[in-house]
Amino acid sequence: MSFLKFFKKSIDKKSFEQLLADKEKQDSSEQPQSKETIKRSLHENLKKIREAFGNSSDIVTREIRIGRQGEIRVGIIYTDGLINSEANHNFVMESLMFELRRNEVDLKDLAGLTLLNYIKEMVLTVGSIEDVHDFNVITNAVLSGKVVLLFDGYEQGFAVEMKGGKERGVQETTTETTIRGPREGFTENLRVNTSLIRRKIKDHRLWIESKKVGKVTKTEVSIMYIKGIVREEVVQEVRSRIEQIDIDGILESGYIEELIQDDSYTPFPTIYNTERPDIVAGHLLEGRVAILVDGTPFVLTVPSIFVQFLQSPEDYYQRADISSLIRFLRFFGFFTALLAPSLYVAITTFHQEMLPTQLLISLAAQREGVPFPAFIEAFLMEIMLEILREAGLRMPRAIGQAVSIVGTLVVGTAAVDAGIVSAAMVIVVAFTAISSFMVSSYDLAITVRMLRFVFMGLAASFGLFGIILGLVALVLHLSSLRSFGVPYLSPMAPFTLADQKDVFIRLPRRLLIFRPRVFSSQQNTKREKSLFQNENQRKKK
Amino acid sequence: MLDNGKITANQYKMLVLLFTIGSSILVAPTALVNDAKQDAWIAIIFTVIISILLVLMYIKIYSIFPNMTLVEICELLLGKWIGKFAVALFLMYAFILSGELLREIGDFTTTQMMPDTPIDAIHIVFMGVVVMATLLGLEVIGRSSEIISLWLFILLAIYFIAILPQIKIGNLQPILGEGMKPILFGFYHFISLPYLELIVFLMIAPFVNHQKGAEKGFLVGVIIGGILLTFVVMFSILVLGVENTARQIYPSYALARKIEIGKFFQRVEVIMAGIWFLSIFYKLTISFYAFVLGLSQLFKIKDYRSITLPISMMLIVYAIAFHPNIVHFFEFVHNIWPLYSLTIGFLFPLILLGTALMKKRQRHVRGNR
Amino acid sequence: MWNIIGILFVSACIFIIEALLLLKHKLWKDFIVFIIFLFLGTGLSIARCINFPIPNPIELLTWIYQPLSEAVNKIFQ
Repeated sequence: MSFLKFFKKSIDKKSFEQLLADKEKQDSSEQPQSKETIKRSLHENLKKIREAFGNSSDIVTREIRIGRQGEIRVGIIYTDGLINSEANHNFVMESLMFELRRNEVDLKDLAGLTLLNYIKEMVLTVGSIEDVHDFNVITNAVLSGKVVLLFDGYEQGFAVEMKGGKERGVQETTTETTIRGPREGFTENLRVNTSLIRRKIKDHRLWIESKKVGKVTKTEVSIMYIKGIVREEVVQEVRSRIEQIDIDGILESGYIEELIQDDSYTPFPTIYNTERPDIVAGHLLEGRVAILVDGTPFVLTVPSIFVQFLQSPEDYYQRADISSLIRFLRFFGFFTALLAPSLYVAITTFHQEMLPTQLLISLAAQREGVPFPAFIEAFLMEIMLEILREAGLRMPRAIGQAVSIVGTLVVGTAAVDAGIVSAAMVIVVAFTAISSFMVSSYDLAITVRMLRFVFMGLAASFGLFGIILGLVALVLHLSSLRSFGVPYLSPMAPFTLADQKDVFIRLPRRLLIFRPRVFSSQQNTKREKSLFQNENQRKKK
Repeated sequence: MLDNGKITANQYKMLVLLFTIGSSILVAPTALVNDAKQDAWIAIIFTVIISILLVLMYIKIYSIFPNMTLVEICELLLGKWIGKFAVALFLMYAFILSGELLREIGDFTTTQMMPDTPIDAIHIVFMGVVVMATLLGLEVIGRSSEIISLWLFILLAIYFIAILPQIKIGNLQPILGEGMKPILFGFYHFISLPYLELIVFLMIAPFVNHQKGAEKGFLVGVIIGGILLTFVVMFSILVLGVENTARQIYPSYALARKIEIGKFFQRVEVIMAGIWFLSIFYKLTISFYAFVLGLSQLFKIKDYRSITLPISMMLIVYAIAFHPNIVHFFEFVHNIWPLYSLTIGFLFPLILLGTALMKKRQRHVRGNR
Repeated sequence: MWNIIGILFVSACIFIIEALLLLKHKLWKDFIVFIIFLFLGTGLSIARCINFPIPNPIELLTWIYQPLSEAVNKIFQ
């Protein structure tokens, strides 16, 4: 791993950049940015648009006539299913076709305005209108749920915001469930997602920047942060990394995650993703940057540190003492999920003397009929478990549960009865599996599942010595990671005493005055008044 | 100077601490008790106090040249050729130290934990992780040391608390029954094993981001390490007794075998093994890093990383080739190593300090004229 | 026999990983030092595999310090 990383680091940066620049030059020469303005003739324009879309059936190009005698011909272009058709009928078509005729407006004398300005300012009863002159802009507008109006005899048109169509509503999240806390989860619609966050943070300093990423999909990607709390250099870094993305399509935030992470050669997630608006709001308040991608309910937040993958939003909704204890339990769960089978293998293979005699005898009796060494036994069981888990995920939900019950109960018991594995091994594997569900982040849980096999291999060949070495190597690797400039293991390494209040334990909210130093910049207090002022006030009373 | 990243004063302190207790925590009681009998604890306290003076000398050298490694200081003060020769002597010390440490790991593991595994396999695997750490650089070594030392403190706390019920105060008497001579002999051995080796820290001190913090961290790390070692030696005498301790090769490990709380919590010597592996890992990593970095500065090459892998091959060979057997190893450590350490860890920096002060004075005098 | 093949394989891997980088950056001095140490490392490993005697600095040290060590031990006994 380290070699690879080193190798990657040492690749000549300059030549690489030059390569990229050359590639870009080629790209631009191949596809010259055609700036084609629209023609005067409506007929030609519509024909051209139809051709550009290959006469796709969902692109509606409708020609209507407006005015008292129908003297002006107007083209309406939109994508069926992407717009709110009812609003389109009521506010665009009706306004144009009906209002103009009913009011008997004299199209020659329009209160001193040109026809187009008159229509824009006095006829169309809709919110957002943009002027369009260019074919590329028109196609983009049509594809992003706008209604485009073109007028015969004018080299100008309007793009009217009319987004709509069927989308999944705000529902409860299924991947990150809590007992206490808001139930809502993000949806596939970027606007809905930003509104969910806006509703939680009503402050004008919550800024959103948007950008289209993906040459073909042209997916909207927004970055969100609270100006004044966030560190400027992190925002700058996020901006530049998203800018550098060169890809044809973005279908999920996982694409962005993979393309902007600091280090590709690591099994550990260095960017947090969540479906819950409350988590994102909490992260924004700590001074992190959220990256929202249109078309997926999963929102990324950066910078991310290791401990945060072992925390749950519930930690902040429950009482502090309970949350702290549960956090300890989760850390314990992390280590058991990682090490339990390998410890079992190491102790039963190399260090039997460590076990109390009674336990050793009972273990030996169980293992008597088992034909495999402990490592093979553990390996078989773990592989079987992973297969069951994956199968349960891919099956239809109703069958999935049946599979997992059949798998765990029936196969497990049968394997023990048949003498293929020992009962103790089944206990260890089951315990490991349950522990791995305690790791609150799915990404980290996958990593743990993977590394478990590495540790089992180490345990089988070098016993506890191998496990200790593996742990040291793991810590070294984790220490070398960074997420947007923040060391992955902070605030443990480098050690920051001030940030310890919210790592292994969560102190009562009264003591959580300062924002974590690793993320936030200038305005470091969470409250306007400091603790001491509060205390003083209390004393005065 | 090569760009290796910076470490914080706290990380430096942890590295010093880990270096001080690494390897010594397992074997120190035997060596001391052999020399000083039940007065070993007096010898160790005496040594810890003297070691502070030694560290003050290292700090003095560092504070005169806060931005230079030992190798660069040497070439600056002693001129090109004598300087290079002195550097070569120091680097040989760092290399032998690394080799001895690796051999110690191999010997311990094959005799106590994994009797069926070939010693070369242990060396290669352990060295693999050390090379990984060295390639990742000092910054990563420093950061990871903060996590590892946290684990270490937890393990040490469990170890010390669990051993408490086994103490027998009578084992300490008679105090000073044999006069001062044994204590001095114990001092002579003990100062050489962890303390004079601390000179390799002059290779990494310039990478601490804060000079005053580095000076303080060096001192505090050594003192905390000394206190921990004192505890281990005291417990060894108090629990095992003088004769039993002197007979053990790895007394702290034997001590952990005595732990028994209830019927279940017993045979937990693996805790001691864990403490020792973690600390000696850092000791080996630091001395190896100091050697590789020093070598790259001696040859004035750009990055120490390119020679790390070939040198690790040499180290794996020499870890075996240094000593034909474990008896030879212990004899060497007992008889030759203290003198060698005194030469490199005391005489050598003393000469450097003298030269530095003399040159400073000359410049001062010249400046006055 | 297999040991030697293994050692040569490892050396080749190290060469590929490091040397190409050094050459790419045109660090001739680094490259020369690297090659010297790689040869030393490989040579020593192979020598140890076939039990060929290799120079041992420990013997040198023992030779230098032995008289002094005996004197010190005499003082403390």
